[in-house]
Amino acid sequence: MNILIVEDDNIAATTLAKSLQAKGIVTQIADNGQKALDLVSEESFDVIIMDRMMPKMDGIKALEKMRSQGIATPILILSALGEVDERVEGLEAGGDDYLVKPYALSELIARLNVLYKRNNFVHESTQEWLKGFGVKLNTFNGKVFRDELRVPLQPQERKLLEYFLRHPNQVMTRKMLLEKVWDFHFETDSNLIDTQISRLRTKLDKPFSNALIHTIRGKGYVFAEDLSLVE
Amino acid sequence: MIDLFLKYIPDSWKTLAMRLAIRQSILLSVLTLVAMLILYWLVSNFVLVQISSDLKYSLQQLSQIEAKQGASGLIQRLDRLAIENESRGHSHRYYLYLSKDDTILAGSLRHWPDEAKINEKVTNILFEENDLPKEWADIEEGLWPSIATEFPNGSKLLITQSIDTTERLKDFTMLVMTFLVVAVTLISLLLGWVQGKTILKKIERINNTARRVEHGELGQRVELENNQKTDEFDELGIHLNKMFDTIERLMQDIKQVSQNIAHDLRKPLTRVQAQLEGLQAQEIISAEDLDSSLEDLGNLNITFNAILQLGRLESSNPQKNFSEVNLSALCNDLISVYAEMADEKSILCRSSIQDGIVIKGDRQLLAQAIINLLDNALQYTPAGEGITFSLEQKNALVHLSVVNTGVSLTEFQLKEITKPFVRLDNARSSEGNGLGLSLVKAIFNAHGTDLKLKVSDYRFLAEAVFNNND
Repeated sequence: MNILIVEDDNIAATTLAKSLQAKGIVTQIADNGQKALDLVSEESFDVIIMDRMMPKMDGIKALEKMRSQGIATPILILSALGEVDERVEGLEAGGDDYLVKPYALSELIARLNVLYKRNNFVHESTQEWLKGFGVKLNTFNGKVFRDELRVPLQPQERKLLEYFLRHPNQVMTRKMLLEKVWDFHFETDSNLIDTQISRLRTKLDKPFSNALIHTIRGKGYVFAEDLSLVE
Repeated sequence: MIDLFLKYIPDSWKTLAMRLAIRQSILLSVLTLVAMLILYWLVSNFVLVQISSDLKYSLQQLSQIEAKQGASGLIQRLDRLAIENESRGHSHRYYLYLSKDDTILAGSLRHWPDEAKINEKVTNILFEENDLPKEWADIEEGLWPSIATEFPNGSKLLITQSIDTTERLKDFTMLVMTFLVVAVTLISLLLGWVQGKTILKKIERINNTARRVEHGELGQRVELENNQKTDEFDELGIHLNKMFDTIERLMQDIKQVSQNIAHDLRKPLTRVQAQLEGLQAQEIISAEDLDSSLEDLGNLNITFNAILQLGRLESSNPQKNFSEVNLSALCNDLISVYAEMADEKSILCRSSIQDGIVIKGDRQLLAQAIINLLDNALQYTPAGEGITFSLEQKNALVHLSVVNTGVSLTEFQLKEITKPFVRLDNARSSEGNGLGLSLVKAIFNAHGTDLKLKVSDYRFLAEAVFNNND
């Protein structure tokens, strides 16, 4: 994965770059929006991490310019500005995901993976059946089957499964699931997601010989058949 | 010029109270002056009207005498009247009876004035010294009301009356008027000054207290007069004292919160520092060695975010992000998961959620508040007991409540638990950052309602009533 880090705080940028490099990710750093624009026009990146408040050109402006120039690279906005309207502003300007500083590295990596994968396998969001590891979900009528056996799920559980099916073998943090399944964008100690996962496991995994939903300690959950394939 | 004038005015006179008193005094003086002038005019007019009427009556009488007794009868009567006139000290009436050829037949006037018109109407004619009888030459000249007539035989009669009485009355009225105006001005100035001083004294009492509070003496209060009758200043003082109470309480709260924050943050920070220093001494550091520090930092982050969110909720305007929120759907979704969590802890979770309740609000904030309430209930309810969640709409009011057992709190503790960082265990060792209920309260406040807490018979009730009328 080739990532561009747009960040004016030199220490934060190099620390992040080192951490990502340790995970085998190639990184480049631009310390303002203008430099990012120049770099993006020269070479292509898989994902761009964009800070908001920067000298010369701020993140939102750089993002808008990139989109207006037809650059479709997924962009994750990484900012200390975390208000609902600030988040909305970032996403409306063309951002694909929004993470508020300070953040956990595992959270950032999980999100980068999702954006990277999304860029590589464009899912047909209108497709009727989502399939993975013997599980299929009808996106129109909500029916779920595993190995052709009907699995009755509640709407929230179905949303969770749908998200897993769309991102197999990718680690999902609790925060990501809370955002995607519940559309909750706040910090909480609640066991909401863990309880839901446990319920989904009871229905989807328990009656069958092999588990598909796995806990990755300290990181989150993954939907996979073979954990060695998980990134 | 005005500046120079203002320079010499004492400062106390420049106060609003004194200015008002002076303004009131001037107004009162002007009103008195106007009233007096009207009275003066009325008095003068009344006397003149009276004289006119007397003159007309007198002319009528004398005309009748002339008609009945002829010129000689009239002459006799005029002579008698002249004698009567002499005996009067004031309001002299003068006559002039001329024959057809303008010979003076009777009367004491020396000439027939040119202005005298024979129309039997009272007119004011200027009488000068040489028109008047010589023996009363000291009588003031002036415009005297006069009436004149001509008899069938061509003779003419003029009657006029001196207005010295009227003049004297007018002079007297003028004197009284001047005296009254001066007296009223002085008295009202004096009263205004006294009134101004009294008001200033009361205001100064309030100002003094405000000044001392401003300089940090938060315990200062406006002294209230110890009588039953409270005036507007006492009322202002009462309100200010209440305001000072609130400020003092808030300052104490802030102090308490700051101490709590310091305590709550210092503990994990010290732990992290100790852990990192410990690791620094190690030659090889594994990823797991850092887990505990990272967890502490993660929790610190959550606490910081909560403090920030609380600050934003209390100071900004979250209503700008309000939209229609299907509260029933949100509660149903949450309860379906929380019932399971409760079940795992052997707690019975009952719920009654009325369908289709939609309110104006911020879904994120409302979800956060409901989650905090449910987490709280789960944390404090002992196994084997129960939680009841209810959402219902009665008319325009939407009632949201969470009831759980297992809590016994005093009234004081109930008030305390919604304050930031307050935890009821003094050791501050329980889970969480003590911001949960403060956040819920702030969120409900932002939605125009409040978090009501009640404890009775071992049951803890947390309730909010939203007005769905807007």
